[in-house]
Amino acid sequence: MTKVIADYIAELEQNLVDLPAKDREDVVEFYREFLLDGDFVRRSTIEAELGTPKQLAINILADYSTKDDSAPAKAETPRSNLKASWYILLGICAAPIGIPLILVILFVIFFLLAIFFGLLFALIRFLFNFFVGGGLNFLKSLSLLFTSDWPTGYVYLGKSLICIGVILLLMPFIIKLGKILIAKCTQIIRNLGKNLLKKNYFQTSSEKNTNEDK
Amino acid sequence: MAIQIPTRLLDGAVLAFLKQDDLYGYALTQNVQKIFSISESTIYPVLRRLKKDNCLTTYDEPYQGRNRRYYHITAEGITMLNSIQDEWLDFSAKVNQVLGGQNDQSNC
Repeated sequence: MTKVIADYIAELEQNLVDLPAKDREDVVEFYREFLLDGDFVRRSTIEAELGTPKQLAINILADYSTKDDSAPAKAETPRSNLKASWYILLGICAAPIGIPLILVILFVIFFLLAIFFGLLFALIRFLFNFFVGGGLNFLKSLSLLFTSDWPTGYVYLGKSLICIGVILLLMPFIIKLGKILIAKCTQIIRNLGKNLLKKNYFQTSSEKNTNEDK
Repeated sequence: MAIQIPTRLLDGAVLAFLKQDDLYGYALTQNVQKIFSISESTIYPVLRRLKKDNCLTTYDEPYQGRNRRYYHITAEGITMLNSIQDEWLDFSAKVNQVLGGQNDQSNC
């Protein structure tokens, strides 16, 4: 194997670290063979055919990310969802589609992000108020507890414990809500990616029905 | 070419080539590129999808001190090819009705 090909393949491999090992091996092996069989000598001709290792990797990752069934071994986590979204977005940007379409997509993505962050900030603010309220009450109660004002101190202590209790009760729901939000946004982006990266094809009428059932 | 190649037809083209003979990645890409002007990075996703759907299998053969991965069509792949061919005949007949210039049938 020439150095040019070895370098290209090594760079490609580095850019694919997020793929499961087996998938990465397969795809890297495919392109290694491809370059060897094509007798590529110069880096420039390789890049004219396949793009830079980075571009090729983005195409590959976008292809993997749009498949619903691509990673049965790996459970969907918010982190992996965000990663998949990112690759799809990069893939869409790399795909040869018209500028009007890109604008529409950017708007959709912008609104999704706006909704997502809006909800996130509202949640954080809500929690923050609760937390600060609870904390202040707790401090107040401590200072009053050992004075003649101790009944007032106990009232504040009670208030602060209620705040903390409510937060602890809500925590699992809040975390769950966050995860659902991320998963939903990813779903939308996934569908977007699938529709954009996969070209529509002619469907016979019977096939259309079965597809809609899914 | 202003008309984009649908993935379905790419699947069909790949299966059609593999039905004639087992091929390795580069040769297959060359064959498909003789017909469709597609980029080199289009073929791998097609092969991966077809393999996942059990339409083809792979085996390695040594070549000049390394391995070459050959792709072999399965019975399921042939079934798939047949259905794509049917869809295409149906579709192309309809397109021909509109764009084919029915007046001189001899031209087809």
